[in-house]
Amino acid sequence: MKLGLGLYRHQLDDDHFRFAAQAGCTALVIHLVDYFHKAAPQAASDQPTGGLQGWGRAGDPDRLWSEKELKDLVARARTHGLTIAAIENFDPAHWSDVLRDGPRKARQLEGLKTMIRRVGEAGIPCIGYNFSLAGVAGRVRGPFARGGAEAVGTDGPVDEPVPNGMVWNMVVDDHPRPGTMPPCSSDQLWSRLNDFLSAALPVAEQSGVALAAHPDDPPMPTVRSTPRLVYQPRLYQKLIDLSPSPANQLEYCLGSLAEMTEGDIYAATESYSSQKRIAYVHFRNVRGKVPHYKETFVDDGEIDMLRIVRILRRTGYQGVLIPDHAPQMSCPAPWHAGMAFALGYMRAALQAVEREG
Amino acid sequence: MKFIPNTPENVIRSDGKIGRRDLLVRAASLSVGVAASRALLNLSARAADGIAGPALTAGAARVMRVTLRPPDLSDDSLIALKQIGVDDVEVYTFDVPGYAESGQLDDAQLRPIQQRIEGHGMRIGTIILDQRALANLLLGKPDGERDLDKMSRTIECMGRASIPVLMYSLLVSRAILNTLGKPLPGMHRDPLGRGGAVLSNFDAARARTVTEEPAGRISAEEMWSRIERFARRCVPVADQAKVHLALHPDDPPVSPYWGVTQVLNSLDSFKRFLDFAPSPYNGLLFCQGTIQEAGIDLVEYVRTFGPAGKIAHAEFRGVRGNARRYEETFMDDGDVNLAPVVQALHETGYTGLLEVAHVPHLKRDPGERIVDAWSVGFLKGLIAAAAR
Repeated sequence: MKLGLGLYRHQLDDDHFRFAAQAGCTALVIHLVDYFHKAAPQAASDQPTGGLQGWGRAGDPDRLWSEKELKDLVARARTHGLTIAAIENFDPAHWSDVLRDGPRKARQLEGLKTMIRRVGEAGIPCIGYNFSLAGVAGRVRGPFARGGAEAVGTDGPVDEPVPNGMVWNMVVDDHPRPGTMPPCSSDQLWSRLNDFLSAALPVAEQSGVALAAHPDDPPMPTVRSTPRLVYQPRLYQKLIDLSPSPANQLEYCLGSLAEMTEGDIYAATESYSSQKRIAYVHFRNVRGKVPHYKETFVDDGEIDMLRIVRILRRTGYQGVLIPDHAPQMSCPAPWHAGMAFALGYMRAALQAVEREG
Repeated sequence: MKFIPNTPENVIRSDGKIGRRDLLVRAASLSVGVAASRALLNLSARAADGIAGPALTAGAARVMRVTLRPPDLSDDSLIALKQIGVDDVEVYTFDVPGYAESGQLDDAQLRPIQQRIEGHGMRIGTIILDQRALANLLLGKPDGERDLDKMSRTIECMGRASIPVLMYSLLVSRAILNTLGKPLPGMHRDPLGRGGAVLSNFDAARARTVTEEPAGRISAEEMWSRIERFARRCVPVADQAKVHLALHPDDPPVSPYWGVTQVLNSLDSFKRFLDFAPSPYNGLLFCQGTIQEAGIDLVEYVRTFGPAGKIAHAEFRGVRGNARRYEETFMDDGDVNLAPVVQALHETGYTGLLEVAHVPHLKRDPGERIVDAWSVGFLKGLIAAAAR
């Protein structure tokens, strides 16, 4: 197993690559979507939360990830002894109508396939995605973690419908028609996911790129009056069963899975790791379940993280673990210190477990 | 802290304070830590009671915990420690007002600090004795007796405050460093770590180029006699006060060093020391870094002294190399996997503190919060793995 660090778009520089190397990482998971684009100012470095207006403005639909920018990132990471294990998330500008089943769907699917090929050409083995209409919406931020450290959580369901022009918690159209996102049933959304995987998985497989699905965050049956796909651990199996392609993989988020109201995180990990479906792991801890959970420091939540590491090892998992989120420490370097704490803990867990019989 | 020389190892920060890291480089050998309650296999019930003062027994789980010395004792620094799950704070004697002038701890000056720390739901887990405290004794000067008196008063003060562990060293090199202001021979800091991290490092050949002997030449016999004098005088005081003394081994573990024959660097030497004054309160500081540099098997060390309850405190760092030449790395990046060492501590009933000792230095890491957070996380990960 390898230790990795997730970096947002604005963190893709030598300073952050160096920090990852110092903390003992050998891999990076990078975000190319600028969640903060033209958004109201918020915590400088941390994960985006945003209100009912979502995060920021989606990117340029006509500007696909170029092979050059991907290769440049891989080369720069290599100078720090790091590999890029995955790109996390498509820009909603690139697949808004794939999610909504809109008029540009066919064109956008072609764009996604082009980008998947380029990612493969650059030698990046995975793209993480979150097939969702409302996206990561409805979370709050506060002094929820140990010692009053700032963390993220939910405080009840959020049902306000998504306004037109917004998809995946970002704005894709500055001048939308008035009104809200048209209704969509759960079956319809599963069918849209199936359309996406049917189009993308053959290209992904051919390009040596896994497509790794993040569970819904927060994992509620509906968020902002839109359906969700994977809001219980068992629903990951439904996604896997859509396609036997080895490129059909999971972006296995322990935090989101533990926030779900059913299931058992250890049994789920055993099952999905044994099926060789975990592309990479989001390693974070949490207290509570939806609609009332809070993210915690890695040692301070309800998940026995060492037990998870031992299950992953026993089932032959050899991929990357990243701390996807960490509480912000009250000090001059809140994001770095919070991540450093999680990375130190994870490094020790890996060193300890790897020498066990 | 004006007495601390501005040497490569003892850089004074731009704010005029001494970096904790730098302080510990010198004091490392001196580092003191906390030993808390533990299953004392071979010790009397009285001793077991004595290890846990009221502050520790009040709901404190009898498990290994992580400690470190914060950059300062401000509320902000304490809160940052609390957030990463450190409830046992390490306090340096110079952090206590009045100590610089009197050379001993005082109840009235210690109490407000202790109360403020406890107000954050934390406690003083250990106190580090300053490294010039025994300088007269170690340098063979006439005032040695006064040093022993003052240290005794400090121990008694800690006993009244129920602070369980005093970390100290008997290093002539640190007495020279802190009284004569000369840099430690052979010690250096260079960007040798991953990602350009600056690591403290030692080269014995470089140390030998320093030919002066500021303390004169001290033989093994003379060194042992000074050490024995200390033990016979101060251990009974600790015994009475129920404060665990944690003796730091030689650092660096080479001999001779600066003209001095260093003698506290082998399993046999530690046994000899403990035999001078047998007491449950006469204990060792398991400085994993220097023990590793000395070529002693770490698990063997723990299995030798752990079951008898002789490890009063433990501190950790990564080490690449040996006493001839070594560098202090991130804890996962040294020559030895530390997981079996923490496992052995757990198995031999150690329930005291694991201290983040020396850390690599990163750019843009004010107060070393980032590297401290990483290191605390690392030790917590090892503790979690050991407790399976």
